[in-house]
Amino acid sequence: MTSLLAVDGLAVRYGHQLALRDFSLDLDPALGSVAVVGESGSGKTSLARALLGLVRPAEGTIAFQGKDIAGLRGGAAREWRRRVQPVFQDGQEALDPRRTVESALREALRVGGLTGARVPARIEELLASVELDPRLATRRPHELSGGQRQRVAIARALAVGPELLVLDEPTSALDVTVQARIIALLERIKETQGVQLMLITHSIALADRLTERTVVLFNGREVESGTTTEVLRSPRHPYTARLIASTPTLWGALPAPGTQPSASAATSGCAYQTRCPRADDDCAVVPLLTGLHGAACHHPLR
Amino acid sequence: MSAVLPVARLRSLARRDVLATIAAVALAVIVLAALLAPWLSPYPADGTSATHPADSLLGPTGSHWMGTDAVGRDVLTRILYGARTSLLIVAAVLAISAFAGVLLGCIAGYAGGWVGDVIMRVTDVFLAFPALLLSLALAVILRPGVGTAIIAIAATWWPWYARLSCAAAQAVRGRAYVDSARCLGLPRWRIVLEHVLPNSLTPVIVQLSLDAGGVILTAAALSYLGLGAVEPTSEWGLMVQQGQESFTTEWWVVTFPGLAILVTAFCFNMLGEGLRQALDPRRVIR
Repeated sequence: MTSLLAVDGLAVRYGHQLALRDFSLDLDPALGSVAVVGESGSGKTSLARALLGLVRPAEGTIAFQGKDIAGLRGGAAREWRRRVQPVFQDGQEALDPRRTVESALREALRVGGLTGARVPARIEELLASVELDPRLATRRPHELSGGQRQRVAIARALAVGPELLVLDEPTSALDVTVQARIIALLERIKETQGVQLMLITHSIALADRLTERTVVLFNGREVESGTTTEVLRSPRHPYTARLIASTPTLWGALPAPGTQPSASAATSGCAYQTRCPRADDDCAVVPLLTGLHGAACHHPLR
Repeated sequence: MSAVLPVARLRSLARRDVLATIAAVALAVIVLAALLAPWLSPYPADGTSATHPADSLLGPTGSHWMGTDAVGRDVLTRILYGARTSLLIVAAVLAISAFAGVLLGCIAGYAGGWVGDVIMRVTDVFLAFPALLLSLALAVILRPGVGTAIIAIAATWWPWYARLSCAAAQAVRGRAYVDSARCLGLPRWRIVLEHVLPNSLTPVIVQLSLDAGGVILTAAALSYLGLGAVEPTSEWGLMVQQGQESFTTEWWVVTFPGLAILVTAFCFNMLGEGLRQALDPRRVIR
């Protein structure tokens, strides 16, 4: 069976800066939801924007049901849009400040082909599905809390009946208690509506809770991938291990040492070598990522 | 689509923003006076072509509250009729300039790339010409009159709105709600009309109200050069121009139409500030 989205050799460039390079991934619903984790500047958001068609790949292809999205037109393009929907980080930014909740949902429903008398009932249904009071339908974004706005953004994405939700840091603009509720909501949506999630996050805990597969990005390169349990419980790449150790807990966290290397530095050997305690002369050559639970490292942890 | 001017918001703002409310009421009175000029004027014939040389340059009296001009016409009557011409020029110039400028600016700002470059370079060409020179060039082709004044001023006015809208649209283009609209698969024209344009309008609406006074003055300048309104049409700028030579001795001829321009421009400015606040969707009004 063809994957919903298949990414092959994807590179994203902003001017001379390569934000993402040689990235491949099959987004097959049968393989479960995917988390893409990494620190700021690792290329996570560039990947999400490329999948959503918001930036043009510098190299490689993104295929929707076997066809490159760059060449999709008319009905095929609409179908791709309908089936792959985003939820951005900040609901305040993601909702048109001049539109009421009802108007935002009505627009999405119209795109999905629903008009006329059935719209009000469907809006109520959508609001209920994200646990929002239908009376909020007349409010504008600035009249809602951060959590409510994010729920509206999720409801709008669901309005067109997507199969894949690309969630770009969906909880990082929210306080912790609201985060927990949004995570629970996403978990429920995934289970009850059968929507696959592609989670872009720097939160290890969020990846662990919501996804079956995890890809770790560092400096625009995929450095480790595998099942979420394998990657997060038994990391093989030193960067993944350090990222997990950096997760804040009540008892503190181990800060990841060093800084993000420049993209030009990454072209000569392993990008992580300047921060890696295991680096040696072998690391002057870019390591390849192989295997089901693979790590692009000459000296993996296990 | 949500309303650009929510009535409930305006009503609650009216309670808070007294100055803008007074300005709006004053402008409504001016518009009403212009519409009802034939019935409100003490000497309706003076608004058009009548002359009374015997009553030339009479000071303000009970029969002529604002005095008379050099050919004996009642100044109050001509101010009332002049409001028609001046407001018509303001409305037409601002409507044409804003429509063309905002549409082109939004397209340039949202599309970017070569489309944006072409539109904005054409805009720059128009901006590079001195406004009056461009108007004069147009006057060579067109006959002097109110219509010429409208076209000449609008031709030099729209590029400012294009620049303003382009900058606003560029700022809006990168917002996540526009990305969300793109991800829904909305056609470009729909994104421009339904998301980019309404969210780029606030600075334009404020600018429109600030420009209204400037348009009245530019129309006056064109009349002075023989391109705008011509005798016997009543027009405030033309009245100021005609009265300037006798300003030190017959002050009323220039002062009252000058005050009419000042008050109207001031009211537009106050209304502009009020609108800016009313149109800011993030301003919480209870």
